[in-house]
Amino acid sequence: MVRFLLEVENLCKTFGGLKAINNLSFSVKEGLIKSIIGPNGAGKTTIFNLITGIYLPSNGKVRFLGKKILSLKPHIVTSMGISRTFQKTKLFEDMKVIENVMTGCHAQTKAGIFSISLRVPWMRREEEQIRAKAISCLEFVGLKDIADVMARSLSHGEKRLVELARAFVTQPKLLLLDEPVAGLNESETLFVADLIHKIRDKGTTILLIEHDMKFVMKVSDEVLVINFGQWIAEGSASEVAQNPDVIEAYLGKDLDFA
Amino acid sequence: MKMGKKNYGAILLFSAAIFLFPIFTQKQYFLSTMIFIALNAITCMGLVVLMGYSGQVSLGHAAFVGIGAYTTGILTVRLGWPISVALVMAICLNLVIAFVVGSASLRLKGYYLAMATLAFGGIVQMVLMNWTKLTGGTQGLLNIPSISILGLKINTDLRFYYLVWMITIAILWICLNMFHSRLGRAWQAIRNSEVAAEATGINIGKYKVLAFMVSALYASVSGSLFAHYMNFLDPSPYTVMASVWPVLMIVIGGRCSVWGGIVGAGILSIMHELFQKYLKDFDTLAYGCLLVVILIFMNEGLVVGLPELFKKVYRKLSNVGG
Repeated sequence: MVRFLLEVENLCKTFGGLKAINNLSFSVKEGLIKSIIGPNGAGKTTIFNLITGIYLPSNGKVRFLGKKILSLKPHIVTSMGISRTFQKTKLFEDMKVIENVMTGCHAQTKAGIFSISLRVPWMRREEEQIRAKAISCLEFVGLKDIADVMARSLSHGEKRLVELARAFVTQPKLLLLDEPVAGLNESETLFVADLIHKIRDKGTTILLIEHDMKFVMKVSDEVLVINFGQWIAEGSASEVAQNPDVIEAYLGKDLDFA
Repeated sequence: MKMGKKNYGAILLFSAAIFLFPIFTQKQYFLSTMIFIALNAITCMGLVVLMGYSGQVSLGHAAFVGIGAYTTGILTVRLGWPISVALVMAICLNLVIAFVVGSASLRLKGYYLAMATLAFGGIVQMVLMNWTKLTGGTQGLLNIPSISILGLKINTDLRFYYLVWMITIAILWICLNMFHSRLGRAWQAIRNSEVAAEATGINIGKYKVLAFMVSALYASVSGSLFAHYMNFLDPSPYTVMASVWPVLMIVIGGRCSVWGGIVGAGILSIMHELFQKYLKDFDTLAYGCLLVVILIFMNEGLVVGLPELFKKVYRKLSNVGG
């Protein structure tokens, strides 16, 4: 039986009078790559912000591994095994690349203020462990050579990859990627597509938002289409591409010039 | 991040210099200046943790120094408590106050946080001035005993010099340890992007308050040591203006590194002495000019700016030579 990792039920979010998310339900199967697509302003990023606890929902339920996670604080959601990246990269610019990735391990480390202040041996061991983890994660995304470079001096493509490494270093159960290839060139996009497949094969389920249709068609096992915060279609990439409602959402209705 | 040999080397070298300093001169004037540098440096390192590491602002830090000073002063003079117990009590009191004030005010950001901490500093100053029964008001609190350790009375400048610098170096080491750990990374992450910090699993509320408490703790230690060094307290060093001093020190020294706190404390304390002697009433103007120059040419402070300057000059010189 297929297990649902994430179940979203009747999710609603209003900003003032605007219904950003309107009674949306969907679920994400474990071990798959699912894409959310929709025109600009359809509410895609809002879904991510609701799942990760940045926004409080107006109504609805979200269950992760059967547990309710809606309106939990962001850092608690993260420590349960959901990591994310951002549409506009949000790296810690004043820190080195390796430190950025090590910060991703925060919820998995335990050293308290006293053992840190005195730099006790087990705290040092923990540091070495996450350093090794961060290095191997950087190697995985092909950035091991720039581990000691300041994050602010990276190119846009490198920043996207570091953010991916920071989110993936803990091997989360669910990885939310908000436009992972926005602003990347074709070869970089292919590289990310390849990485995403590899991440899935390592056992992480992926939910992503993307506008690049070629990319979506290539990586997705399943596609969800929304518009104006509402469910429009769901299914495999090719099914969705032929759905008349989807075509209408993207291209508009045929006008009748009678 | 690794602590690195560089930092250990620097600490060792610095400790050696501090240890040897009294061999060259034991003039009371120099020793007491060095003692004030150390006391300022302790407060500044706390402020680096708060402002440099975690990116929060406090314009009321003299309040924590004052609470530390007056708590040990009052407990030892009025109640006759032993200094060690009084010192711990002062720290505990400051931690509690920092927790309460921090939990409330750190929800604010930027200017609003600055105003809230400024107000807190003002309130504490008023209490110190006007609760005369307890603090002695402007008359001051007299006859504060000197510290003694294992029967050795720390009543000369030389002895106090070694005590205060040992504590300073211990705090320096602790601050560096904090910086190079998950704690330091969490603070820096908050400074860079609160949203991203939360998304990597950092409880930002908790870590902001923690930074506030750590900096209050150091300020408390600095205040208590000052009280037992001077053997006398009055409210004048805890004005709102006195809270600006450590901020100025770390901006000039370098707010993103504890070394910046020490360098800033050293340079400004020495300048304070020199300006008072030679510039008299124009000293504020001189500080203003210094600050403007630093902010324009080395906006990350001397500990970052000077090495860069040296590198530039060195490159120029070697180009000319080659």
